[in-house]
Amino acid sequence: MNSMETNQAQLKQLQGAFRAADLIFRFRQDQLSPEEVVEFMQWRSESEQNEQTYKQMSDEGHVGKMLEEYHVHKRSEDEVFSKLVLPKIKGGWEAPIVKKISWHKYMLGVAASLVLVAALGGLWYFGHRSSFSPGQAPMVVTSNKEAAPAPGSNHATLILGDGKVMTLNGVANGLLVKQGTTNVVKTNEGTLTYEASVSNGGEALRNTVVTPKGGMYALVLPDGSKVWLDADSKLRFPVAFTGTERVVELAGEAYFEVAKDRAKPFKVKVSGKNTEIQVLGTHFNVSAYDEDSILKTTLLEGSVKVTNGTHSTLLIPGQQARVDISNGVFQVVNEPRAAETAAWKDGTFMFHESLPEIMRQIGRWYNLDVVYVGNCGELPKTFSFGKKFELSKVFEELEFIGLAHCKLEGKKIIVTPLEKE
Amino acid sequence: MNNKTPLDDLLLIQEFKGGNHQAMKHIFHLFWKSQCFFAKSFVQDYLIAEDIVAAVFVKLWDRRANFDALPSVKSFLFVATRNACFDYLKQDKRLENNKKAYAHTIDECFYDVDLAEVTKAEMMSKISNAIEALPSQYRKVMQLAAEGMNTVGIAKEMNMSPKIVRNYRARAINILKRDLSDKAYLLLLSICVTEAVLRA
Repeated sequence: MNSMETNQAQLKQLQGAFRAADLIFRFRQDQLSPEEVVEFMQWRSESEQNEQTYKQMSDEGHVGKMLEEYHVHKRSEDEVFSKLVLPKIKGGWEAPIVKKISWHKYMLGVAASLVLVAALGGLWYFGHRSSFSPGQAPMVVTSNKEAAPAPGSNHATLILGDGKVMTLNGVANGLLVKQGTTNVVKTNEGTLTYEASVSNGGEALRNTVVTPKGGMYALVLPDGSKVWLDADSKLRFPVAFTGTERVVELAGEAYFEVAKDRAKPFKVKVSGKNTEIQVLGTHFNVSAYDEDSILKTTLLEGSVKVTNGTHSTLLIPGQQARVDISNGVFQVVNEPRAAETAAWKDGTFMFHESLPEIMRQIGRWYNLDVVYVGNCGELPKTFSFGKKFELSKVFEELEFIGLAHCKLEGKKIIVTPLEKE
Repeated sequence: MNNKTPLDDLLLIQEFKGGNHQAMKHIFHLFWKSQCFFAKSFVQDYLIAEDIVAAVFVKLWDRRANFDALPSVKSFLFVATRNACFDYLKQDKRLENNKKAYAHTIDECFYDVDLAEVTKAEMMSKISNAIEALPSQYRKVMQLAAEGMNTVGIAKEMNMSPKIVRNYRARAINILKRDLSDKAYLLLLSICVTEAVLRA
């Protein structure tokens, strides 16, 4: 068997390994796109070996040692090349390469350069992520009767125009119900599509889709606009946009991709918060949970106008409007991670928030209450977890990232600060 | 990657295929360390790993006509190094108890543990390259800080007043924030913050 040629299967495996290195490297730099974060999380969960590799590459001590080893050799590079390689390469010649290609050389002695590289490597590489100190496994105490809380899934309820309530769980694909002249069709796992026929004017019926804690659902509105509803949220909307405007009402969190229709502005009214978001055709995320004191609208693409009471502002992509419900303060900030605010719709929750905000979302998705013991800090950190993660894995991640220690007791998550080293 | 453009890589490969020893030396430089690191995960011994990898590079040279781009060179090296390590392990009876000395014939496919080593070798290469790419004055400050020098010491060494060193740090942070990649900025930041740790 010819063991020197590479074959397709090996190439594919190697490419996977190279890709993994690239993802880990850029993950530590916060440089992954939301899609890449999902890919990265999937790679990690593919095998215990992958997870191990990631853990090792995130352990400051381990990486420091590996870097030292990387630079230690019995013979220098030049020595090996001139004695073991050059004499054996036949049929070539010595010639300067036409374009200048420069490569760096360490000018330091071996011992010094080792220390330098190890220290540099560690500090640089671990600049903003805490190292993992293997301690106790995260505690998930379960009673005999209940199973460990499962992550959320595509659960929702539909409230029809006449008030009738239908569950959307486990419903087969196809026509669900007719509302006026509109067909309500389940097109996919977790997606409901409203197919409106040519409108005949007049008031259209209103439907409401409600997601419980631990639920998520997607909708296609009668104009083709797409809406992803996060957990514990509600969207009320007409089954056909017959008026001069397209108006929907939101409580909770949703991501919108609004279809263009210059003739009919699209408006999102936030229930009970005296706030309205007007769009022409665009992608944006609205986070308006009751428990969060700040209502956030993040614009990814297009243009929206956010109005709260008498305050109004026009957003450009990459900006976030923040309305503090408690005191009415209205702010516009740059959100360079705009795309991350909507990553949840593709399966990964991504945050650059303080611990309370992160824990609230975890509570919503796993349908648990959150209780704090001690001061866990308010500094925003970057954190993400996959939609399908087991709760114990989320707890592990929280410790890993250096946010908090979590323990499950019954239906409560007990959050305590991590021990300082 | 360093400051090389894809055009540089293409030129390098062309020269390499054409038989230019300088090009071979450069390719050797690009992959030598990570291949040794990878080989050491199989054979443990530094000398043996270096010998194996050197022989693999000779084989690379013999087959240089087959490569059109650096990625394929990299892939070849990993496969060839792994196979050469396996050959060595099979021959050396002293290492019969070595966990990595698979008794059965060499499989075409990489095992999970092997791929993990590939990923690690790649990571080491990336980290090392990124550090090499930092500007030299910055590295000098950090080198001194890494050796345990505080601001006053660095100021003496680099012939500046401590005020200027502190100033330099602050300005450097702003410059880095603006011009360089996040990683360089974070490094400088963490140096400033963890000076005490370094001295330990």
